[in-house]
Amino acid sequence: MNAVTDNLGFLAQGLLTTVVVAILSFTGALLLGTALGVARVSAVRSLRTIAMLYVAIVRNTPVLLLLIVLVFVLPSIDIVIDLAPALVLGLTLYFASYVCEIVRSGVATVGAGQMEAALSLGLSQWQAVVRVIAPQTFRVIVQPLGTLAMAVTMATSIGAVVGVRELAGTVRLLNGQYANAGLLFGVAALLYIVLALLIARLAKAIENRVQVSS
Amino acid sequence: MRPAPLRVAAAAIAVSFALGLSACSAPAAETPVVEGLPDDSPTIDRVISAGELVVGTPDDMPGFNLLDPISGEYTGFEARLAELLSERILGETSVRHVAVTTDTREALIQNGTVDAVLSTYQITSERLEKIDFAGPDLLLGTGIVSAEALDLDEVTDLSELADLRLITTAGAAADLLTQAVPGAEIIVFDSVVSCVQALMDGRGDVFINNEATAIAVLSLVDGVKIVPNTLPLSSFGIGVSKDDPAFTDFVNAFLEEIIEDGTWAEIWEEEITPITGKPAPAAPVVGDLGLE
Repeated sequence: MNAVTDNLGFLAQGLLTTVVVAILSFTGALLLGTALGVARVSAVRSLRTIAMLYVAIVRNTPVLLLLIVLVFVLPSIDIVIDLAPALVLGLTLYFASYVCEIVRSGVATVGAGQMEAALSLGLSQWQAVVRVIAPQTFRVIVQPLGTLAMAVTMATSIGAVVGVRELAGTVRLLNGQYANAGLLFGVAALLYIVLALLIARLAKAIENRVQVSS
Repeated sequence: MRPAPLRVAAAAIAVSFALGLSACSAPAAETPVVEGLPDDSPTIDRVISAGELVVGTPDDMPGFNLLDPISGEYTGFEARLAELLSERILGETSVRHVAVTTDTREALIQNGTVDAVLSTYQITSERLEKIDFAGPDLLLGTGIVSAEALDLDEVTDLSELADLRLITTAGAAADLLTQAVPGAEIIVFDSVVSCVQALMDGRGDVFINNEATAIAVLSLVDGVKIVPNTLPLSSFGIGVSKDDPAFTDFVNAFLEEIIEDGTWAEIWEEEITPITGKPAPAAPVVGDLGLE
């Protein structure tokens, strides 16, 4: 047990890194992914193509590969990104492709008639998107985005491979010293589960808030 | 009722099966080719009935365990030891490698997936609580590699490195550092290759590992140097199950044998001397695990 109790500060530091990396990566993915999602459903053909290509390439590549390119390949053309920022960038780029698809399918669930009705009521195109389409889309995509936030949090653990000492990396390091994999990885698993449950709760709260009472 | 040809055929198949099976089981019933094996070791019984020794090894440690992806062959000092050990048990070389990492070594020994682990496995008292070590099979010093430009005096204690960013692999080297240099920035990668790349990219100031790996790194890349040090040697052993003391004794006897007859030094000179340019060092004393 002392593998854990003697290293509470060390573990907390790892957990904090995981949380910070997850928050930054998810926020980044949300921003980039929403931009891509809007491009994906826009009326401009070239934007649609760019977004489609982005999703096709990035989503169909393992995130580990993307990270290895950022950490080990880019330096060969003299671009050296620090390890933790590289992890955040990798997760952002990767999960943006998922956000893009979630946004696209969210928009698709809002009937075409909604747009037509809004326009015929005299709203401008912009007003129609912001006041009619976006709120309805948001309601639909909260839950899948919550699931994605969990996936991002779990995926931060690949940081252990590229030298970022987040929760999984911390536990690996401790296991080298204490040779107590069951206990250490068990504690890590428990902490990941707690994080996931917190995210699920948060997503549910947001969903309830934006729900239209019937 | 006509005689059923199907039934005849079925009987014929059954008979031939029975004959076939007994023919198959015949070799297993033979006594082992090798004499003088302990008869109270479940591990040795398993190796004999499977016809192969299953060893847990990494595949990316130059000089110790390196997999040639084209031929599928393992080279290196500990890979050779594994071959010799299988020969000692089976009378022929028959080794199956299972990839292990620092995270999985103890578990794979405990659950019987591997018979032994040979992975520059540093002997520590924490690990001895989970598994047993035969050996030591290696005594290695610490190797410190830095960029040529870095100005660093001879290191007499690891704490002198406290202000530097230290790159290392997960495992013995990382443990040593977390204990000896608390608070230092330690960057851990999966493999030696990743560590070297990170050092070249300037992600850290020095790469720390065992002496032989450090020298192997020197042979792989330009622009780096070895920082001299007077740090003590560490003992590395062969990880085996705690439940089979007869096997631990057997592997110890095997190691003593190959150290005594010069085979140990011979394979060192074939596998590690080409990398380090130095002759085989004094062999370890089997049974002296190097712990206080």
